[in-house]
Amino acid sequence: MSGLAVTRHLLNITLQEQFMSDAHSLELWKEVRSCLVRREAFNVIDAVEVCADGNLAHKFRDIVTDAIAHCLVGTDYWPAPYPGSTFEYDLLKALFTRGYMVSDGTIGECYPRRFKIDCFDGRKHFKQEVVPASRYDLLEAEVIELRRRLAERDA
Amino acid sequence: MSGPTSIHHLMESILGRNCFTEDHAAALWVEVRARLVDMEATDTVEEVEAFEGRRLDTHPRDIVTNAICFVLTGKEYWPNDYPGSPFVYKFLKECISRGYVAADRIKGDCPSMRFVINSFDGVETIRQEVVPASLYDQAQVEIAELRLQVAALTKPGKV
Repeated sequence: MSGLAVTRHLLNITLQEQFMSDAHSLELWKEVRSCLVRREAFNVIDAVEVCADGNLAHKFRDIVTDAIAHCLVGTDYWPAPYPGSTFEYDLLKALFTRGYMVSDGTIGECYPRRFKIDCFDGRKHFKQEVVPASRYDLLEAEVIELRRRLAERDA
Repeated sequence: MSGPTSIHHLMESILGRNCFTEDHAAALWVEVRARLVDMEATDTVEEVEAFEGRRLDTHPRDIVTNAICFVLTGKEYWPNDYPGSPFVYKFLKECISRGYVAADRIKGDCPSMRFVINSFDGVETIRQEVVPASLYDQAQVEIAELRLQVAALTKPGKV
């Protein structure tokens, strides 16, 4: 079954390294195949299963990568990178959790909390480092609670 | 001399009508003129002062607008709007302190530190509300200090 070759090839392209064993690739292909069946992408399954070298035609590749994203991360499609996206983090986390890949320790235990955005003020390009407001709200709530406890003690 | 007239028209187009007076315009033109002279834009000064109408053409207008920006905010040019830009706040703050506009043109005491950025993931537009990382860092420092204070208060013998 060359679904194995395709899933391995696609993930290896994305992550730019060779890491998927045959057993893992086959396991993932079974999930991806089920997803493709649910999406009624039978022609894609046929194309994958006759693709011996894993280098799938472009028109089918996107559909398979979307299904891989769904199986590993739960998104409907493989998103393009954008500032603040957690997709790459979620993907790596899933690969580590499933044992498909061994963590080198560079990925933390929690979501990346800050990222840079590109800005342009008409003359200069510059970057701003930002944090999701929801994370800041958690800190603000904690500040309020700590102040309340201190005020209670003082009273 | 139409320097004050030009400034009056420009500031009205920025701030709205009926708030920027002719006295304001005359005083601001003196400052703007000095800035233009500092910038060695004496040809612009001559062009504005010789101008008979109210609305300057694009060429001198951009230079005069940048000079207004410098006088009121210290920034060398009038920036385009971008997410999280503090420019409008600074500009309005100075206009309020000079009495050009009423204080209620700004809500609150500090610029809104949270803003929305729109990104695209290839299929959908992603709307994210964010704050500057420096603000987040300040809050973290404050929490660390407050936790220490709370811990000190809850130590046995202090209660």
